Amino acid sequence: MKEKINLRQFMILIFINLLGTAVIFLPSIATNFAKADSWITMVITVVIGCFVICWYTTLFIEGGKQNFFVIIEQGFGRKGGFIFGFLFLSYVFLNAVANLITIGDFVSVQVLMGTPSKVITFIVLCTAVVGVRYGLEVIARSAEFFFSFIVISIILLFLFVSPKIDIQNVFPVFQMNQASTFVGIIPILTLTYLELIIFLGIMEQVSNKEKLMRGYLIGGIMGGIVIFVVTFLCICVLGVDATIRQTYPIYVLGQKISLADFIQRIEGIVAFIWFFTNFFKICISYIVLAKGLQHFFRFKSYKIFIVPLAFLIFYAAYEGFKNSYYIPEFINSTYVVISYIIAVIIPLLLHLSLIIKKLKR
Amino acid sequence: MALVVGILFMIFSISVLIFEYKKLIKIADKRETRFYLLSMVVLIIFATLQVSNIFSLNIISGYSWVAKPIADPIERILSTFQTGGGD
Repeated sequence: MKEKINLRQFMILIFINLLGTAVIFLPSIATNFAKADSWITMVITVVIGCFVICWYTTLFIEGGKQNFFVIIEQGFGRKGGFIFGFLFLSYVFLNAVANLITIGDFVSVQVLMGTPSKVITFIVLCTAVVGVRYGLEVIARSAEFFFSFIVISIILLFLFVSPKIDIQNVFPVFQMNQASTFVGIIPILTLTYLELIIFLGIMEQVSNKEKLMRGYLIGGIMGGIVIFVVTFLCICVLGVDATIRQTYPIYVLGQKISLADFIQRIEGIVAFIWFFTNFFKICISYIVLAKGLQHFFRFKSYKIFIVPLAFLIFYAAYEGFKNSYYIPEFINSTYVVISYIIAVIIPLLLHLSLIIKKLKR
Repeated sequence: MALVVGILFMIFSISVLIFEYKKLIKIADKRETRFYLLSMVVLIIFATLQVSNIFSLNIISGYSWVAKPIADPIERILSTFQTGGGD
């Protein structure tokens, strides 16, 4: 029986996926480029991201609303499809590993100090294995369940931090760093909307495909708004320099909370938001990876790949990044290149080939 | 210490393998079962060697190495725009 998810669950998964790594790293990366104007960078990114979402949906519709790996084979032929499909899967694999590494790093640096990140990585991966074995439907339902907790946590964070806002930190608006404001969009897009290409791997499982674009867009815009507000709050509350210096500025934002000396330092809220969003992100990448392998090796079920993949992912995450300082370096170099090749150039070629084949017919 | 962790990891991996194999044999065909066994054995050996610090292959570095010719100039360009430069 084919697993199906509804539009609302799909939208929630998009929202959660967008928040994943982005909410914790983006304020620092955006501010590093545009300083006080980083919120402008975020606004432009969300607008471009909406176009990216529309494009991905059009590509899916153009391919006959089928499995993305079938669309790849349709566009590039059997052998080409195999090569490009594996390139896409290598990106999904990188995404799963990178998210696992960052979750291990974050928890061991900020929450469970002294616990080796490998132990956290291992525990999260074991949980992801259980989730993926249950299938996409169960993952989507649990995401739906946790969605309200995530939203409430975000709202609480915004509310509690708002008294600390110093709007002067945002000024002068767009007076300096104009070029950097736009250049910053390049790495930020890779961490947000370009990662949504992974969802093409599960799009055929959405039950109401007619309204797919709507769900995709709503999820994307909601996620974009949250990232924008987080970045804006980081600049207003922490200031430009502190936001650049911190690896996890949103966590420091949580530490700043102090309401009437009664509600204090509830940075656990941030940890909660990030832990859950990143966990679902890992699960989605993992499931797409297994489904892709199932398609290319012509297996009956993707579940056969789950445990071997877990070993490979753990093995890759074990030595992945030598230290936390390597993560921003990786995001600004390797990840940019790989993201734009896999999430822009390959879909563009695929789209062109689908259009040409359609015209020939 | 690393060796002890490696041995523990291997014991854990083999028990996972046996547990999964027992379940799998009921539902999968011969080709799938063979694939599963082969991939698991290879990955268990790799992972155990890695965990016990006997062998080191960094997959993430592999990505960086492949992307290096384009990634290096891009990083240089991006770094000129960081911390508000580039105007």
